[in-house]
Amino acid sequence: MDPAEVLNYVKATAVMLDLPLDVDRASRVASHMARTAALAGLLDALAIAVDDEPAELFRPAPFAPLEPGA
Amino acid sequence: MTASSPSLDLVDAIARGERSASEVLEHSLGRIEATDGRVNAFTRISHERARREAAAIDRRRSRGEALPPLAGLPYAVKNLFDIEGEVTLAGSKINRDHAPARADAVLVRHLQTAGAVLVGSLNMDEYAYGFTTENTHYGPTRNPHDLARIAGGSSGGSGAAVAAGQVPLTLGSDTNGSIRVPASLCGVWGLKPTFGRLSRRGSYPFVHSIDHLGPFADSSTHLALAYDALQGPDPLDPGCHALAVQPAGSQMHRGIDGLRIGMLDGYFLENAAAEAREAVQAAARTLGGVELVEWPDAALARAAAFIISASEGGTLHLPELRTRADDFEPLSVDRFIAGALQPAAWYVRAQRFRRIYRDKVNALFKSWDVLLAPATPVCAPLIGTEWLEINGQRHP
Repeated sequence: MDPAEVLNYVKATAVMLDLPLDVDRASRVASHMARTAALAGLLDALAIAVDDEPAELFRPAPFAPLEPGA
Repeated sequence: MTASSPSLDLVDAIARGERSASEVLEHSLGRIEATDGRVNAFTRISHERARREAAAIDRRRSRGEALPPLAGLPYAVKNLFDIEGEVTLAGSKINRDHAPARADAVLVRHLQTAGAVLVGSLNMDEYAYGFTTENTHYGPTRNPHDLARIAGGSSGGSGAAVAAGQVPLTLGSDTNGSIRVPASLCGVWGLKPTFGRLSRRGSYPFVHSIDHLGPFADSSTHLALAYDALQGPDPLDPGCHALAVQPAGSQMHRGIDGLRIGMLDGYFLENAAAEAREAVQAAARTLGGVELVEWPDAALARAAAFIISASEGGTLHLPELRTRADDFEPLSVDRFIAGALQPAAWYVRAQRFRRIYRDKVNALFKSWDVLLAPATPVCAPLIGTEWLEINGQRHP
C-alpha cells in the first residue's frame, strides 16, 4: 500500500473522529496503520462464506464431571 | 521454578500457629523494601490495610477458628485491579485524576475471603498495551534474574514480584499474552484461565472481548489453590459464564497419567529461537509429549487478535486520545490512535475469522488434552530493545 495513501487515510479518518493529529504523530500513526494493513491483508485473502457470522462472546464448555471421591 | 512451595509451608505454618500472619507479612514487606528499589515491581504498598488483614487472621487463629485456605499469604495485584479507597491507575498518568475505587475488584474480594493478605499494587504497561513493562510514567520493571533485562508485560510487576520473592502470589491480566509472557520471562508459574471462568468486574479493561484475569505463583500447586479461591459465578460480568466452581487443587494428585500430551510444531517452533525450542523440547521429554501437532491458522489468528485488540482498545480510549494524547505512554499512544482509526471492515472480518478459528481449535482439543509451546520465543530481552531478530527475521 502506498505510504502517502495510508497517511491521507489517517488524516481523513482523524478528522471524522474529531481526533487532532500533528504532522509527526500522523506520520507515526500511518506507519502503524500500514503494518496493520499487511495483517488485514492476510485475513482478506481468506475465503469466508457469507454465512460465517462474527464470533459471539465466548462461552466455555461446561465442566467435566469430577472423578468419584475427588 | 519448583513444584514444591515455600509459600505452602507458610500457609501450613500459620494454620498450625508456628508463625503468625503478621510475622509473615513483615518478612514480605522487608523483602519488598530491600529489593524494590532495583526491581520496581510495586507502584503502591498498602501497609495499613495489609497489617489490618494479617492481624485479623492472627485473631481468628488465636480464637481457635478454622482458617481459610490461603490464610496469611501475602499477595499483590496489577494496578488495574480496583482496591477500595485507591485510584486504579492501569499504568497510566491520566487515571490519576480518577476518583478512588469504591469497592475492591471481585477477585480481590475472593482472595480476601480465602484469607490472603493484600500488600499492594504492581507496575504494568499503560492500559495493558505492551509486552515489556517499560512504563515511562512509573519506570521500567526489571527482571529479578538480570536487572538489565525486561520482566515482560503487560503484567510485568506481577511476574517480577513473585520472581523476586517479594510475595508468593500476584494477580495479573492477559489479553494477548500479558500473564504468559512475564511468567515465562521471570521463570514463575502463571495461569491464563479459559475466557469466561473468572469475573473481571472491578478491573480496568483493555479489549473487552479478549481480556482475562489470572494468577501468578511460586509453584504449580499454589497456582491451583489460588485459582480455586478466585473462581465463582458473577452474573454482573457479561464475560463471566462460570456457573460453578471446579476445584483444581484437589485434582493435582492425579498427575499426568492418561493425559494426551503433544508438542506444537510449525508456527510455534519456526518463530522461536533455539533456547526456546530447547526448553519446550525438554518439557516434552519430561511429560512424554513427543508427538508433533500442527496448530491451525496461527499466523491468521495473530493477525485477527492484533486487529481486534487495536480496534477495541483504541475505541475505548478515544475520548482521552482526543484531548490528552500527550499524557499517554509515548511507547503505545500512536498504536492506540491507529487502532481507533482502523476500517470497520478489518474488525468485522477478524471477528468472522475468529468464529471459524475457534471451531478448529475446539476440534483439535477433541484429540489432545495438553499442547506444549514456548510461551515466549526468546529469553528476556535487554531493556530498551526495539527489534528482535529470530531465525533471521526482524520483529518489532
